[in-house]
Amino acid sequence: MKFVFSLIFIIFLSSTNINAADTNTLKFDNEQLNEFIKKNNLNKIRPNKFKKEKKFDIRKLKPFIFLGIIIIGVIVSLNNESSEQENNTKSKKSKNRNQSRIDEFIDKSNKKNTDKQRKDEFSYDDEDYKDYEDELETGDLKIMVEEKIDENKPFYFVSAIGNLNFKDKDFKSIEKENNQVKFTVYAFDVTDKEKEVALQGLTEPFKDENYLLSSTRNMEAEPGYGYFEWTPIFIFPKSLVIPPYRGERKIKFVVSATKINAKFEQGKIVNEKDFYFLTESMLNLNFQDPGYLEEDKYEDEVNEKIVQLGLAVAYSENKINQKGVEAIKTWINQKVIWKHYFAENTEEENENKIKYSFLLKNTYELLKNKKLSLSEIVKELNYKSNTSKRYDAMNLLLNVAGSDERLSTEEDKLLNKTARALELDMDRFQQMKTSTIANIDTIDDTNEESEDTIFNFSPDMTNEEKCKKLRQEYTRWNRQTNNSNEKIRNQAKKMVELTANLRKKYNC
Amino acid sequence: MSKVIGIDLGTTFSAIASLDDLGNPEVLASIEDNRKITASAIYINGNNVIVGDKALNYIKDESKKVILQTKREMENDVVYSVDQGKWTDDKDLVDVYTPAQVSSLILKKLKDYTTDVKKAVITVPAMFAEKARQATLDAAKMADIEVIELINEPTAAVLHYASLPGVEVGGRVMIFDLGGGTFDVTFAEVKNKKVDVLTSRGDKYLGGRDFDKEITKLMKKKYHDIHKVDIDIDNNKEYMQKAEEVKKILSVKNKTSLSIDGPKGAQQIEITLEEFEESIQTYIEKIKMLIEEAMEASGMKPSRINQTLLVGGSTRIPLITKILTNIMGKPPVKGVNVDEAVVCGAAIYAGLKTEKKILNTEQQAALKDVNLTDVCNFYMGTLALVRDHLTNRDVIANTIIIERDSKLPVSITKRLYTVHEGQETLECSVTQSEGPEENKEFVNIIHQEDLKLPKDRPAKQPIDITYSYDESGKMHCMFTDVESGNSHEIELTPETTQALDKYRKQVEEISVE
Repeated sequence: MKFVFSLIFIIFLSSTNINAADTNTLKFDNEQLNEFIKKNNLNKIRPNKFKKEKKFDIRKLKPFIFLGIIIIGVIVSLNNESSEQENNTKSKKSKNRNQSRIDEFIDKSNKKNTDKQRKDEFSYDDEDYKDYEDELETGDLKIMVEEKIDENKPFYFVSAIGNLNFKDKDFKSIEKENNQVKFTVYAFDVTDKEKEVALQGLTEPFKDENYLLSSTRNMEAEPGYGYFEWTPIFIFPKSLVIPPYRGERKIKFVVSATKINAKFEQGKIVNEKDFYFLTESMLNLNFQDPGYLEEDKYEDEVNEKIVQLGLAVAYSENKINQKGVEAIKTWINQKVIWKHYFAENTEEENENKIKYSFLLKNTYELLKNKKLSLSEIVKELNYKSNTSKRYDAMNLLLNVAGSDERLSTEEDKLLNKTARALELDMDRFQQMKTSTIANIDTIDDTNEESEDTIFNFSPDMTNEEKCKKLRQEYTRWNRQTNNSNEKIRNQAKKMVELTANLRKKYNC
Repeated sequence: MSKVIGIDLGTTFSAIASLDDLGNPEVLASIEDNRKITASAIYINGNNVIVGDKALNYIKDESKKVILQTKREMENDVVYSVDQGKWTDDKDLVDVYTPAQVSSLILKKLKDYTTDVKKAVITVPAMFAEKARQATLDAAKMADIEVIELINEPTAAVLHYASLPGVEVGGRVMIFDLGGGTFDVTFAEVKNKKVDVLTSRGDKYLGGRDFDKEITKLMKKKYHDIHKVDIDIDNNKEYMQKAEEVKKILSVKNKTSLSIDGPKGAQQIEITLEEFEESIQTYIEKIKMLIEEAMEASGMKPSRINQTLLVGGSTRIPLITKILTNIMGKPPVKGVNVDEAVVCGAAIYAGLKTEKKILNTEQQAALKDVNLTDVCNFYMGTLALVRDHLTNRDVIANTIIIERDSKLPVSITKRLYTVHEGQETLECSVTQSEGPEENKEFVNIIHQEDLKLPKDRPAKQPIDITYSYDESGKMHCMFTDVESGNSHEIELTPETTQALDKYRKQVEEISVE
């Protein structure tokens, strides 16, 4: 039997719900990542098992039954030589030696053989075992962090290779814990060598109890275990890895192997006795968004700009959409006022109420006098807010636009323009808009311009591109003509008609 | 002994067929006029109900009492008010009929074309929503017909084509089913009598009736051009009847003239084929888009499709053949009765689903090599909390368990986890959607029930969800709490509604003529 290092991956741990949106619900832990695992065959081995058996496929030796018997004989004899050692520690070195001898034997046999097909069969095995040999030379456990895109979404993969370098004494503790070892990863901003800062984490399951970016899992560990090839062991959505400041940053990822109940504080182990070993890797990051410390600094400014954008949408038809203003006020309450209410900071709560009342009033005046520069607002938002905040802003704008149960061409134009200016993913934006359109009574499709605006056609689009987009929209809406919600169903029917009419217009 | 029956419950026409002694489907004719297709029209006057072509005679004088296109309302929570002469959601009105009730009257009529109709396979459009399928089953119950299975119309049609002696159908085929009220496009692989459905797409609001409506608009315009007043095409069903006649004539001629009544008296007008074809361009675009979509979904290209099979009366429109020939690069297969393909396929399928001992030797031999593999026409999923990393929020989203176009039968298990510490209940939702939707607004929740969980447990308890979907469209769902073994099973057969008994009683009191 020849054990080599394992290929493993984790089933993502589930978590508590931050929003507590529904008390009876289930959590599907990152569908996309699970799909990734499935797609790449990373879930073939049970999560806590490291072992992988590499079979010597006897079927390949079918034409060489006689030769095969000799080989097996040699394997048996070599295995006998080292059986005691193997039984005790499953030493990889002895296995390596044995394997080399087998390889050598097969090699020699192959040289004698002139039949190409037969040679290929042996070469296959030979190559296979060479890989195996390389694998055994990978040394102590190393990690590497790299950005990978999966289905258009970016992630940081923490991958490992090498042996689990436990000391002999560690195995006693490991045995006591049913051969279980806890692996934990933290990330630190080490750009300033004097001041190492653990990155923050607010999102389950990528945070520890102190709200630091972290991930943890228990794994089975025995002597001889490890990874024979670079294998993802942790994964973080890119959007969650936020350094304290923007620009060129050095991020150190540290994976620690510890006892099961080991505690961490600020990303460092509390009790050294619980510690087995650690390994680390550096990631150079050019972070374009504001860091989390900057986010805090800019938070008020960003909220104000979002409110101003919201009011611009409410005023896009040169008259104020009162229901839109109500939607903005609700947003202010949720994002700003309640924060102070829960912090029982009445003074700040009141101050903010006054501040935002003035902001609404002043912005309204600026809009009326055509003195509000939307491009300046968007520019500032792009600099001072992160991506999720910009989507948050777009959500508000869509709510404002749909608050009066109709979407006018002017509102729609402004939404499209703002989405582009905020550098949002346009497909995602169109999905968000679809949700808004589905829930309103009327869309302005009275003229050529409005028709194009609804589907966010840009001026540089060719007719062919428009036809393709219209087909996608038709598919999207036709599916909703079955919706059990009558309002959505009716709106879908209208949109289906509109897409077909436009296809006719563009002579698709 | 119960006969092997298939029923096509159509928007404009319905039909019933049985397997003859040799195992061939035979469309049964009306005893009154010997016609094999029956108008899905109903005249209701108290307990006096007339179903079929004769009901159409009342359109001119008692238009409100004539109910048409009931199939389009099957998924809606509406009733037909005889007083108002339209479908309405006002349930407090008297003298009203649900879509299922009206359909049951059509089924009752079809039943009378032969004896011993106890069980039947009934056809539905491929994209019929769960609610519409339920309403169809309700209708059958009210008509005292036990439904063996519902089968998708294009699937039934291809089964008929594949079983037809003398028609060479093989390879990859497109089934183009354009009926009176719905349109389905289906791709399938046919080898001898073995049919593997690959995918179906459909539009529930596209059919011959829509073309008729466009003709009435032409009539209105022409009348207005002459008299400067409008005719009321929305509330006068007679115009639709005339439009249908115009459409039929324009299927063989280049123009036709007709007399239409209006506020300024009768007026003779002419409608040309060119005008008609121009008026239905929007629908043609929809047809083209659905074909494109279905091709994309099944990875097909026109060059890889061996044949196009036509189903439904609206395929007689010359423009349809022209469009299909353009898209596919070859003309569709002709020579098969497009009105009867669906009902014949339903009868064949009924034979396949009938116990062998009930069939005679010839019937068994005829069906011996017939084989059908269908696909799941919808995405089936559940609602769960997922992290949206773009907006950094946890959201309740639809999580797909069974993919659309999965070959039936299919069984998939996915593991999810409880969210809260001490979570004692679990909301088990079963969702259905035509697209791979994440947004819960865009899916239909077809079942929702709570599963009790043991108390005082930490969060993250694994729950296994298994969906199994069989060939007959029955879905079995199981939500299992892995640790305790507690499970919640849901058998999702399109079931009858609770109010069925009330509606059934009302129908029983009606005698159908």
